[in-house]
Amino acid sequence: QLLSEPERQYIFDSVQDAVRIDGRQCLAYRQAALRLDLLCYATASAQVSLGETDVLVSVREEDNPGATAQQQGSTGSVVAAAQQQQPVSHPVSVWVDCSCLGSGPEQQQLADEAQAHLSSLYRCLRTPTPVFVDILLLGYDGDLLDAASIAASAALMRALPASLLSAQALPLFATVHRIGSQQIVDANQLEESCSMARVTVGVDSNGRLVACQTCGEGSLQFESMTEMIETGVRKAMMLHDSVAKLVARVL
Amino acid sequence: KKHLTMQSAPDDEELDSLSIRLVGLDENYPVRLNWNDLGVQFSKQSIVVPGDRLTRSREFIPGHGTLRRTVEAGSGNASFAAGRRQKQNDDNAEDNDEDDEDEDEEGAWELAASVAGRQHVVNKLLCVLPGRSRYAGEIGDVVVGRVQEVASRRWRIDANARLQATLHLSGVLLPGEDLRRKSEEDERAMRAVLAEGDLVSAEVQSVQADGSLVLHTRNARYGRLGQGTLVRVPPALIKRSKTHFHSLPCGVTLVLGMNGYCWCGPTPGQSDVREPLASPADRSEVARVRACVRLLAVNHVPLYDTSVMQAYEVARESPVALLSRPDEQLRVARLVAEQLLTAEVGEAQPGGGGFGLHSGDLISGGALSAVH
Repeated sequence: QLLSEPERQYIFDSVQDAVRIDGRQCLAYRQAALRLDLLCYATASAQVSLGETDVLVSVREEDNPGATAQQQGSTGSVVAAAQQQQPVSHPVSVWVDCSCLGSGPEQQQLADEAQAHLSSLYRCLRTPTPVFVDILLLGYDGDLLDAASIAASAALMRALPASLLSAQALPLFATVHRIGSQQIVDANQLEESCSMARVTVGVDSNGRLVACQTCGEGSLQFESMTEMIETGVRKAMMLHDSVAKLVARVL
Repeated sequence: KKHLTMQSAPDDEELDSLSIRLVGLDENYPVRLNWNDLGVQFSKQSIVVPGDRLTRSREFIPGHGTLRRTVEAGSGNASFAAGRRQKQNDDNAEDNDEDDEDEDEEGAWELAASVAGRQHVVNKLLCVLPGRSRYAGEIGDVVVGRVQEVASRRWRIDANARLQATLHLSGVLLPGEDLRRKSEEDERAMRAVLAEGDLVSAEVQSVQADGSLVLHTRNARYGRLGQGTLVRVPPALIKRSKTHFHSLPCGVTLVLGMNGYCWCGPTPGQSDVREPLASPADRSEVARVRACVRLLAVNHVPLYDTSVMQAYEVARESPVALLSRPDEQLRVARLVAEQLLTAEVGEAQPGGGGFGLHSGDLISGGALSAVH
C-alpha cells in the first residue's frame, strides 16, 4: 500500500508507544460480530466482521465420497469395500474470492496470498470427507486469516451433529505481527504494511499448537519468535472460548 | 533497546475486546444513524430516484442530473397509480395551469431525474444533486492528495476524483525566493520536495476541460503533510467552510479536504525546525479525533469543525478503542446530530420553491443517508 514516510513512521512510533492508530492496546482485538446460517446450500456458513474486515465463509462437506466407488461394476466392488475399510483422510480445500473489493491487481494479489497462506495453515486438519472452505471477502482492513478461521470454525461447530468432524480438531488462527520491538495482534491494513514479520499459529480447542506460519520481509530472533508464538497461542485460546460460548448459545 | 513488553492493561480488558457479538439473521448490523428518528422529515418530493418526474412546468431550466423527456400516455411516472390519477385529472379538464399548458402543446414534455439524489433549485435552474458521486472539484477547494507519480516538471496526485490531479513544479512554493525561475536542478530535485506516496494539502487552481484538477501549494499553509493519519470519508459530507485547516484545542491538527480525504496529526510546535516526536498523550488525542471523524462519516453526519469538536466532547470520557464499536459510534453520532439539529433550527430559513427543500448542509447529510 502506498504510504508516505511520515505516515509509516507515525504508525511505527504509535505502536512503540502502545497507542495504536485506533487507540487499541497492542494485544487487543477489534469488535467482532458473527452471523450464522446465511447460506442454505452450504453445509454451514458464517459471516465474521472484525472491524472493517468482513468475510463470508461457506463450508461444504461431501456427504458420501464412497458412493462413487460403489457405482463401479462388480470388479470394483471388492476394491470399494477395501477402500471403505481404510480410513480416508482428505485435506481442506480453500478458495478466497476478493471480487467484491475490486478487480485490480492488488485485490487479486490479496486473494492469491490469502489462499496460499490459509491452504498451508489448514494442512494441519485432515478430514474424513472432503471439506471445501470458500471465503468471500466483503471488506478488508487487515487480519484476514483470523477472521476466516473464526468463521469457518463457528460454521462447522454449528453443523456438528451432521458433520463428521470432531469439535476438538478445528483450529483457530491467531496472527501476531511484529513492529519494531512490539508485537501486535489483529493488525489493520496500515499496520500490516508497516510490520516487519508476522507469525500465525493454529491452535485446537485443547490448546495444542497444530500449525505455525511465518511471513514477512524482516527476520526474527529465536526468542522473539517464541514469544510471538506464546502470545498467539494465548490469543487463540481466548478466541476458542469466545466462539464456543457463542455457538453454545445458539444451539 | 526496548525488550518485548507484555501490556500492563489487565487481562479482563483484553477479554472484553475479544467478546464476539452474535448477530441474528434478521438483525440489522451495524446499526447506523436513522435521521427519521431524529425528527428530520423529508418531503416526498425532495428525494428522487432515476425516472421520477420533477416538473412539467416550462419555467425551469434543466441542470445536472435531470433529463427532458416527452410525456406519453400512461408512462413516464415512477408511480403507476399517480400516473393514472394524472390522466384522469387531465380527462376531467380541471382548471389547472399545467393542464392548460399541456393541452396547448402537442409534444408535452417533462423534466425527470436521471440520478438518485436531492432536488436543488437556484432561481430557474433545477438540478438533482446525487448523494454519492466522485469528487468533481471547484476552483478554490482545499484538497488533500497523495502523490502517485513524479513526472517531468509535475506531480500526479490522487485526489479521489475521476482523473488524477496535477501539481506543477511552478505551483509549489519552493524554499528561497518566491519568484525565481525554476532551474534544471529544481527539476531533478523534485523528489526532495514531494516523493511518491507523500500526502500533500493543496488548493484547486483550475479545472481542465476533461475534468482533471490542477492544484497549487503557493501558500505557507499548504504543502507536504507530516506525522499523522489519513481518514477517507464520502466527499459529500465535507461542508464547505472558510477554512479547512483546524487546529483543535486538544493539540490535534485536522485538515478536512473537500475531496473526502481528511488528515489528523499532532499540531507541531511553533519554534521547532524539525518535527518533534509526538508523545503518547498526543497520539491518544489524534486517535480520538480520527475515531470521531470516522464515526461521524459512517453515520452520515456532515463534517466540519463544529461537528467534529462536539463529537470529541461527547467522546472525551470513553476510551478511544471503544469508539470503533458500532453501538458506541451510533450513540455519539446521535448526540452530535441532535445538538446540530437544535442549533440549525435556530438559524433555519424557509425552504425554497414548491419542492419542500430544507436549507442547511446538515440536511444534506441526512439526505445522503436516506438516499443510501
